Amino acid sequence: MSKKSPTLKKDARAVLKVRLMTIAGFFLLFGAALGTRLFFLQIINHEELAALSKRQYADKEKIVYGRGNIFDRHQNELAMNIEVESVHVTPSKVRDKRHTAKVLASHLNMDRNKIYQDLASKKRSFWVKRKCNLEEVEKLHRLGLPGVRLIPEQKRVYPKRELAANVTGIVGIDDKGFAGAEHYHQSILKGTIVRRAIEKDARGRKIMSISEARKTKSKSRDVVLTIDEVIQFIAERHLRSQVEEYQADSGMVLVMEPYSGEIYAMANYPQFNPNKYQAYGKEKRKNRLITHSYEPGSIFKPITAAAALDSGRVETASELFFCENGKFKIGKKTYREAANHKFDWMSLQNIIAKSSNIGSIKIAQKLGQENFYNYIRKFGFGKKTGIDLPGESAGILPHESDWDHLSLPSMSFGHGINVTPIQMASAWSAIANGGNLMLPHITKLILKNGQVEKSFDPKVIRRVISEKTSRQMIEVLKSTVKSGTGIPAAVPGFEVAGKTGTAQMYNEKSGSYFKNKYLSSFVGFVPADSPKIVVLVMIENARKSHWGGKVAGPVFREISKEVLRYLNEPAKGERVFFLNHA
Amino acid sequence: MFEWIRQAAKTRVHVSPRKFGVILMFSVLLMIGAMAFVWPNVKMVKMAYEYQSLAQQQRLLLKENNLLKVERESLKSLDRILFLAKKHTDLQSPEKGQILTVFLK
Repeated sequence: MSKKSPTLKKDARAVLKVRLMTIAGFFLLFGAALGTRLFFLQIINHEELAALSKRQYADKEKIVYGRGNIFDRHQNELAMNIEVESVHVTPSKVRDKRHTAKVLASHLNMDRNKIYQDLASKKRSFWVKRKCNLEEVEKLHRLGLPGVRLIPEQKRVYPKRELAANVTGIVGIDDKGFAGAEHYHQSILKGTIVRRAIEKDARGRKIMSISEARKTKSKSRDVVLTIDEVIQFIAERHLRSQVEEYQADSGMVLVMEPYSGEIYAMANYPQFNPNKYQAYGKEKRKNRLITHSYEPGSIFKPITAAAALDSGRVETASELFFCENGKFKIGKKTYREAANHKFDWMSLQNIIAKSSNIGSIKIAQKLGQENFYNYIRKFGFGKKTGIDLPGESAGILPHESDWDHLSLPSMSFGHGINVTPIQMASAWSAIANGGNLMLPHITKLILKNGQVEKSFDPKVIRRVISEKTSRQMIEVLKSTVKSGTGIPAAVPGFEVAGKTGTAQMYNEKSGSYFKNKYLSSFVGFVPADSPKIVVLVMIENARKSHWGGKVAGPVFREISKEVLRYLNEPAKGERVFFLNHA
Repeated sequence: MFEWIRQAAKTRVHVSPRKFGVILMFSVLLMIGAMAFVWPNVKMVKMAYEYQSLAQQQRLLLKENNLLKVERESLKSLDRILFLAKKHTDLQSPEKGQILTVFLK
């Protein structure tokens, strides 16, 4: 081993020191540069950089709570939602516009040029197609086209298709109710969007929610209707079959519970499928039971009779009236009976049972104009019933001061007055339930997270006739079905109270009556002495026959028969057993 | 100018084995403390990813469940049931004498 000289050692140490100092100098410079940079980043540019950083890790998430569901009275779904996706494009992010337009057009079954035009336009972003079906978006998901986003949305679905479509209504592309319960309960059903802050990682994946959304499952509420899916189905089925059988233009059925005003069924024919509502005309989507008014014809006669009995102007249903042997002249107008019948003396009961026009005029004349008008108003005609559905018509009832010498005779048998089917069913419910006019309603409950938030109880609007008059009228109306014009409406095993109607339809364009267009109707309730249901049937312009008893009567019979069976109302002669639960 | 650096270079720190042990122990404790501070955060982020993945799975299942509900409801359509009852199983509405009503008290 060689020994180094002290001089060499000293030199080496000096070199080491210089090196160390150089390194220390570098560290010092580096530290100074780092400090300066930190000063700029943390103090000078703090706000800007903090905001930039927040943008990178913090974001907002949109939680869509879809529209509330609509249920029937037994909570069967009539309207619900499914999650679908909509195609949204940001043109500035699209690399190959022609290719993107081609792919989107082929998968979404749309016009390629239209998409390309939108892509080439100055639009910042646009919807290509809203609420696509699952097959359409599946391939787009796989392709992952730049600039094309698939945004989840809720789509309204009506699983029962045509069933009660005119009642539930429809919603537009932006989930806004257009008609029916969807429109009426828009504020209750409307979906909500909740935005909450979230934290993302560098790759844009969501890590966690900064502000936790409230733990509620859904912010929207559900609506339970009084409609019974089964009764609605029965009503629609029999209505459809009769309209087709008699080659009629259209028809309506309303089934109502007379003591509560709850509506079990509202059937309109022709029907429409609310899932594809654009394919149907606006007229088909209307619920004509509330939006349209008609001259009711003979089904109005019981109103005249009830008013006469209740006022005391006619004491009993057996009081006799001279029916002029089929011709009765008032001023220049001659009134005749339907089918040129010639009646002489008839009791009030027979006038209703045989549907005598002249007899009804005589009853109304005995009642007097003022009384008659007041009773018509008390029965709820000439103003909206207040049913919880949109678009209700008030009908047409001229004020008594505007009546001429023909108003009273014409109105006595249901002409010169326009009433909506819902008004008529409500008035008949008053006759059936002992004299109370009930508020007809279609909404039973409002639910929030499955719990009842609000319930709609029966509401008496006013007493229209006394219980005594109600009982008298029930006997009168029973005779119509037993021996009068309503025989085809008789339900085996039950006593039925009802009335037929055959009214010439009014042509608004020409201002006169159609010669061969009739509104065939039947209204009644069953069982007559303790009514469970009021059923109104109206069929417009039946071509094979136009008599209310023949066209509408059988619809009443079939619906009543099935509904009573469904409601566990045993028929006379039917075997009934009472079993103890234990 | 760099005299203080030269002085610092000349300085030697003498640490006794006992002191060295104390310093080492503090260093280890400091590291454990740091780990204890960082670990829950790491764990939390990991769990957040897991939660997000489960939430996504739940969303998909709910979506599927909703679709199945729609399908169930449309299969329950009375029109369809009536058709199947009449055409496939040859069921008929009962006649008057065939109906028996039982009420449970």
